[in-house]
Amino acid sequence: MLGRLLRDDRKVGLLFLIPGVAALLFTYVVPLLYSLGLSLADWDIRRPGSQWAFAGLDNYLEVLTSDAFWEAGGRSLVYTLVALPVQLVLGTLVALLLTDERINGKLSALTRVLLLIPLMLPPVVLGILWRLLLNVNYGPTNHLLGLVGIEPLTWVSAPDTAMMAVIMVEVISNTCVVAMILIGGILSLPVEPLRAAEVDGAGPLRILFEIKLPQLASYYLIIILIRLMDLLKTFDFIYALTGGGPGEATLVLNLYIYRVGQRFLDYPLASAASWIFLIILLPLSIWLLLRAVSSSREYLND
Amino acid sequence: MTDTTAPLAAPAPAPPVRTRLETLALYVCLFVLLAVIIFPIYWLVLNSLKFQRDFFTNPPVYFPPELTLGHWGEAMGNPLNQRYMLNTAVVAVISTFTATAAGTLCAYVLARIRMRWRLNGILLFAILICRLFPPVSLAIPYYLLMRQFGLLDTQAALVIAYTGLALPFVTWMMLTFFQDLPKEVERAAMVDGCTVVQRFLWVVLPMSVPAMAVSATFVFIAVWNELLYAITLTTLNAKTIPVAIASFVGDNALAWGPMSALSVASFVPVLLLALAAQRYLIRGLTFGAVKG
Amino acid sequence: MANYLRLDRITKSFGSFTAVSDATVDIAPGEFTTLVGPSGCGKTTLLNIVAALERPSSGAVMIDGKDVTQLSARERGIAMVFQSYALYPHLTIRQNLGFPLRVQKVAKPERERRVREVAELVEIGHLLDRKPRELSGGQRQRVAIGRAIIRPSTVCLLDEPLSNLDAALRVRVRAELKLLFGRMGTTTLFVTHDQSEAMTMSDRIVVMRDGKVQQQGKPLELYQKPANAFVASFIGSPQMNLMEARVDSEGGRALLRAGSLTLPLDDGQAARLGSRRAVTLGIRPEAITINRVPGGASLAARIELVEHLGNSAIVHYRGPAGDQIVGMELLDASIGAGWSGEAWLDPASVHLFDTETTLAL
Repeated sequence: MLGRLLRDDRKVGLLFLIPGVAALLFTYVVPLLYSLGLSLADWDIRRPGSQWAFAGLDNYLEVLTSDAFWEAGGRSLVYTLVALPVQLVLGTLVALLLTDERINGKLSALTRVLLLIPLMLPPVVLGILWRLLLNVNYGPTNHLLGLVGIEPLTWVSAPDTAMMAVIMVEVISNTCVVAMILIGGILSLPVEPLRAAEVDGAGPLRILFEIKLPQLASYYLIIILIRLMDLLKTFDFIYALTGGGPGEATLVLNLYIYRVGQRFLDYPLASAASWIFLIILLPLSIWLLLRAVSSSREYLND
Repeated sequence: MTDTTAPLAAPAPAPPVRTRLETLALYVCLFVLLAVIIFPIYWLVLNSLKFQRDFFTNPPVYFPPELTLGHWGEAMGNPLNQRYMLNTAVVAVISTFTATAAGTLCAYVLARIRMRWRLNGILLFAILICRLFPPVSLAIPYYLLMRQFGLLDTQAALVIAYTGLALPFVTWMMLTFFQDLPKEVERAAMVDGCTVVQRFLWVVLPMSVPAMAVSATFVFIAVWNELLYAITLTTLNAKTIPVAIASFVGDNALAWGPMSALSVASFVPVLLLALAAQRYLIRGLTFGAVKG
Repeated sequence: MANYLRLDRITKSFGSFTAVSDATVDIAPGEFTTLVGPSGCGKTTLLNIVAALERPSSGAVMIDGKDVTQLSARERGIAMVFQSYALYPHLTIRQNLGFPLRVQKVAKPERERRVREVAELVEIGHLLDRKPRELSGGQRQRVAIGRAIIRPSTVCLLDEPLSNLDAALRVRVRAELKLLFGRMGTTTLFVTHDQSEAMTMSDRIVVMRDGKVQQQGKPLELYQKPANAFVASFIGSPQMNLMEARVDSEGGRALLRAGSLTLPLDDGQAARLGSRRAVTLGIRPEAITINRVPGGASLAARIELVEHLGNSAIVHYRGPAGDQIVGMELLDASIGAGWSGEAWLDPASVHLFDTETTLAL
């Protein structure tokens, strides 16, 4: 009986899928359905004995009519749309720098390894660390800038500069990801076309823009997909760096939802907000995902 | 006359001065890059070793005349921190194991066994979609559900959450790996009389050890560093190091020394793992899309 | 000991694509049979069906008259050598050879004894403790063959096992394989796209194209009596000359006119033409020579190119009408490009095919 079962590929396949599917069920499907139910309910955890009562779309309407939600959404948008292009450009420059033949090979190889550091730094530590570095009174950043004649900046301690500081920290840490992926790409480019272009008399800029970068297009697509998804998910380091403040200056959507839920304990409202976030986010992500993995149809036995 | 057109003449070499200036500029850029990478880490390590009196000075002290291990003693000697460290390690090891095991099994089926009802495509799509969900949208239902089942502040709660977090990543990474694995070896095993299970255990698994190690490394690092679920689901018993570090911010804004020491301590294992896996890192970073 | 394999009206479709269509092949016990055809002709699919790696859409695989279509490779008792050898990279050569026995739970001492025996047979006794990646291509191939013959099998399948070897080694291994399988007497099915491998190694050849069996028979049968124009051009190197010919008559005798060539037909040939006005004419290169053939036909031609092979030469002629024809000189005469004169052929040696159906007349 068991022997027969083990010889049937499809039955064994189902057996193999059980742990993964169970995990998906309990960590995604059930919680999301729970959250969907909650978002449609009227319930206050602080009132003992409070029961779920169907509230229709009340929570959704409350979120959609609250300025706080839209402001948080706006901040997420600014954060993402500024950080992404800046780290793409800087990452490209760093990648070109570290693959430039005029720089000592051992030195650039060493630097490539060092790029790991900002990448692997726990986000909490990243936030804490920059808290120290950007401290207005005692931090080295203002002091070092002062040495080259730049006035002290308020960084994360004032509402009007906090978002810029948060974006700067994000750019510094994740430019390294972009650079590392691109370095991998540049090093894997075939050498012959570059040599041929040189022989044909093309200048370095022309080689860069007409030969190198176009060949890296697929790398850029992946980088944009991954960075976009991660930027829209950012929570950890902003939590440690500013906690969303000062005031609400860096309260991006993820922190807003967390704050509504865990600090104000308004779970139904937080659930509604996160569903609205999902509804906005998912079509974009799915579209990008399908584009990036459309070549992976071959990955399926389907 | 040929000297007016000279199409075959080599272009005149660039003046050496200009070349040297360019090279110099490149090295300046490299220096700036190195400074931006290294200085923050230097500052963190320095802060964990500075005497309290050197913290609050303007200008800051870059090269203190004396250093102390006092903050390290305070941070690591604290039994609570030791417990958090242990929690982090236990949770990271167990969820790395569960996610890698479940993800590898799933990936093998998706890559190699053609299931009924187009299950392969449906499951893969579901798994990829799962990876798109922002954790914050799951944190609240996790909290309430774990509360209902009495799992709040337990390592089990974190293991469940982290297995879910890492599963899509592992599945996709291993799927791309299995696709690159020549099918003929498994077909040979089939002809030699192996059942699927024997094929998987005797042939596929031994060949997959390096790929599984790389995925596991990534999962371990992500779980070790994770804050949101940990801060939502734990308060004391199962608290992890990132939560402990984050709580310095609220509780005691002035304890820079121990905070830095704890931060360095939590970073070291991750850095060592990353260095060990660096050859395979690009592949992991790009979610398996680029073969580094 | 040896077994009788029959593929009965096998069809295999993938979606709308038909890889194998209604293929019936009989392989006698102990026979070395080759499936040959251009890439994409369905030969590998057919092999996979025999190996139970694919299930046919319809039709049956029979071994010794028993329908085994629903059985696994293990139950059918199939052994197989893969094109890429498919050695287990994490196992030593000893473990690779012993693997099929391990799966069948053969006791360790017996396993050891068989491994030794087979390793001697394929001459890899000194490599047993190495890993596959430490071996050369030729050595890996021996291991793959050893693994296939280590346990008793009903049918042994070889999927282009020579294609990853360099040219010189391929010719040597070709002869060794033939000897080895001849000695063992196992029923063997060999797949290749190389007609010269098929010709030199096989007891019988099955020629496939576009999923259909074109012809099966002994190598010389296929060479001398190709069933259609495809088989005629596929078997033999250099390829048979194929040209469109008009049927004409002169003085009551049937003639074929193709380009610069005018060919008188004998009565038998003329009878086979029936009422056709046009046919496809096939002439093997070795039938065309610069030496006068008594009673032969001749055409005026110029030599454009001579490929010297040492013991023979391939001669490319061009006729006054601009048509090309390839001939062969067995003794490498000191002929050269530029020579003009008459090329001769024996009208009895020509092949005639129906232009529409391409079938031999």
